[in-house]
Amino acid sequence: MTEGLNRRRKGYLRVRLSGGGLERFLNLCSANGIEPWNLCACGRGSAECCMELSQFRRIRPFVRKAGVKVRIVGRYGLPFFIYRNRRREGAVCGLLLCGFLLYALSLFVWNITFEGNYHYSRDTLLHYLETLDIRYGMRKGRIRCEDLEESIRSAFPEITWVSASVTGTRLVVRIKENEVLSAVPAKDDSPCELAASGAGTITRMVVRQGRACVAVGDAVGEGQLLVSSELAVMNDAGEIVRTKYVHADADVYARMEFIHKSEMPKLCRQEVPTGRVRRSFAVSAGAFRARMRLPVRGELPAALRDGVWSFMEWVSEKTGLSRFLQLPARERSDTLWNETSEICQLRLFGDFYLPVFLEKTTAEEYTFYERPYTREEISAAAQQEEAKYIENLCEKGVHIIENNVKIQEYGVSLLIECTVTGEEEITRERAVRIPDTPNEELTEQE
Amino acid sequence: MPEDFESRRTAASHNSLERGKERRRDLHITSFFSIPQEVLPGEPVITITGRNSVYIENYRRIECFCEDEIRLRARTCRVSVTGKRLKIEYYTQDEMLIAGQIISVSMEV
Repeated sequence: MTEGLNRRRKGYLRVRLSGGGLERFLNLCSANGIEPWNLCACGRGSAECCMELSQFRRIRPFVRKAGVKVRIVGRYGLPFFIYRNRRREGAVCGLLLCGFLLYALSLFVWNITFEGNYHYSRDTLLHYLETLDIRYGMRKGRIRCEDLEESIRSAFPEITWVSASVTGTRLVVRIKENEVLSAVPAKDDSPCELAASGAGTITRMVVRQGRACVAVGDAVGEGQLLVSSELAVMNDAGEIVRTKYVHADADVYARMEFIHKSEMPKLCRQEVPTGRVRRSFAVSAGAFRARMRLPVRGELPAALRDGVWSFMEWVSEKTGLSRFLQLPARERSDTLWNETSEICQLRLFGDFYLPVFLEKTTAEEYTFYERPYTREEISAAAQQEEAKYIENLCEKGVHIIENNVKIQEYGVSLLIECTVTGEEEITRERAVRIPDTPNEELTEQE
Repeated sequence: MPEDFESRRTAASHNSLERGKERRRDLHITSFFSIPQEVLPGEPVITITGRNSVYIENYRRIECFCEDEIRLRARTCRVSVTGKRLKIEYYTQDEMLIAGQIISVSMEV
């Protein structure tokens, strides 16, 4: 393919060779570095072949020597194209303008891509790049990849490796994130006690450090002390010598009741497609957007009556005005459309992206009506709500023991009440204030 | 003139004898070292792909080019490719790709 393009760039000829020493001419050509291609015999003692323009200029002595006649059959390639169109100034200007425009566009970044990011979303990284003044449409020369890599590494500690490169009009940021914990959390040894994070009945408890203040089977309220940090140090006579404050550590599980209430309307909105489908195509560049809305299939005659241009829009986002081509379209205002759009960025080749976006939209017309939910639908909705709530609890580490769902009419809506009984760890660390007592002083001295 | 002709004939026979000697020497070398003969300079290498293309390396010159036959001269033999609608896709001083409907590839001394 590259060879073909190269030949077209240099220009080549299709020549017909006839006469006596055809084979001699071919041998002379190959011996002198002239390499014709696509050589095919046509008729008696004559053949056609392709030859590069520069090589064609060198064959005169061999033609005389071999006694062949050469006739040009076709001229192909850029030099001939330019020669043929030498009088078309407008086309030449257009081509030059196009080339200049492409060159100007190639100086900016029109696409930013992140690869290998799982923890940090594209929006987060884009937002960060904006703080570094790196954004869509900026000059490529202003991006310093080394500085960008260093900034990202220092701003996001979980990112261990960054590679930024500008290829074409695209900025590619490749990232590797840390898959293990970057730092081991430091052990907290400061004195603290454990309190209940909610109300419930204790089902099991394991105390590793501290003094248990409750027992299995006790009902506790929110904020009640479960494990104290105070440990009394006694002498042989059983007297308290001093009090030691420790970092209480225990697993205390309690049976708790979780209640979740949600509302849903009694009437549901039912959308019914009418079958009318409308397609539209749009091209947007910067703040401008030109959209062509095709008429609904089967309604073309009526659309033509309104005028084809009624389907064209030229919208400027900056001014918010529709200009030039828009005429009042006779679209029924009471219709509703579900629109699905596909947007893709235009690119010439490889990484040469252009600031032009193509948009294809498919709109389906629908009408709607309201109807009351059926019993089955209500039941399904309640169960779905309950399952969602239970899933949330499970994520928090609650062991589900029992669950119930209740549906009640509540004015114009339905009230879904989910009651879940589960077992959850209820310890919550609470700092203790160490009293300034002689006992404590003793502790400090020791 | 006859002397000239005689001297040319003598030179030609001398050249042919020299070529024969060279060839025998090459054969001895390849058999002695157990190396393939295609590594010797000048031996034609012919690669046939399906019925539609023949690739020839180490040819000397084109002797005949027409639609039904392409005959080439190599160092040690003549190679003749016969077929229908034959054409030379490309050729250089050493190699050539022949395309078309190939019927036979034959060699003669």
